Amino acid sequence: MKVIDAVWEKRNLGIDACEVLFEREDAVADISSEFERISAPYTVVKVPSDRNDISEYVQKNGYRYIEDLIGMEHDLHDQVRHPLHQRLYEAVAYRSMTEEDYAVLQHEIQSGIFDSDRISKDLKFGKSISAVRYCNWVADLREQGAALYTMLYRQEPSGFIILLTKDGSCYQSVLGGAYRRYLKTGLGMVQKEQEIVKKLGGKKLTTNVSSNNPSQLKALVANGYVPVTVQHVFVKHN
Amino acid sequence: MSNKEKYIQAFVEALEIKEDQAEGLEYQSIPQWDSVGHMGLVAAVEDAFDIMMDTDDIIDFSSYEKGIELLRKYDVEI
Repeated sequence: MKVIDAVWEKRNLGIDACEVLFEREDAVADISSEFERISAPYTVVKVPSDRNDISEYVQKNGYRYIEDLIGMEHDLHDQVRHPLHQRLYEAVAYRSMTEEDYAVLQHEIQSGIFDSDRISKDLKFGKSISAVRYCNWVADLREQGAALYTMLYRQEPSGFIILLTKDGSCYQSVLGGAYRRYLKTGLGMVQKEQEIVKKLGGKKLTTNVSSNNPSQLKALVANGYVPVTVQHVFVKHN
Repeated sequence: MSNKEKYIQAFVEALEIKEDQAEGLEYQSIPQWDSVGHMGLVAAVEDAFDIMMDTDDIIDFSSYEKGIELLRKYDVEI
């Protein structure tokens, strides 16, 4: 079990927060005394989905289920797309984000393009706080050296993708999305990160998707990702 | 089959809905009409009328009614 003082959430959410990551090898008896001492105002707990005993234990301690986090992987195989999907794919270009693109991204996030995350869905937080959190997260990623790309439809920014890597081989698609004008257009099916990562010399692409976003899950599978891990996520407001 | 019947049938098959649900339907008004469902719907409409829609029209196809308007550009009257 790892207990992390989520210092970034103090800035994002305005309260102290803690994140607990249970691991498959954890035994409830070994971790219970430490776990039950956690009393941060907001605590997030992630449990491997095949550890029902830990899920039950966590819920008995007052945590409530909010989502499943599904870990997805893509081996960068060449994808054969339906001709219609291919036409849309070829209609979208991308570029490394300029300063102007970055300002557009921040504006789009503040306008509310994200609503399936656990902060948006939490009645004690909501979409406005979630938007602040996303803006801060994007700024942090940029400082960490993540690669930010703007998607373009007819030369107009239509969405974005943010990629992170530690070893230049495995890339994580940390965050992405369509901008408001393009939210209900089918462009969510166009995923350029596989092409980008291959050009960067990467060998594997990973991402996470919430069970509260089945549309995104479907789009990832349709683009060749496979699910590899599932974590049950619980939260508690003290 | 009339054009309207063919059009509705495209919705029925692509989005797995009943015929009486098609009119008034909008993108994301039902779980099935997301980006994946949209691909299936547009493909079904293209097949039904033997047309190839411009990408601008694929993106603008946001509702049952909007689709009818867009199809006029391809000389298809519903």
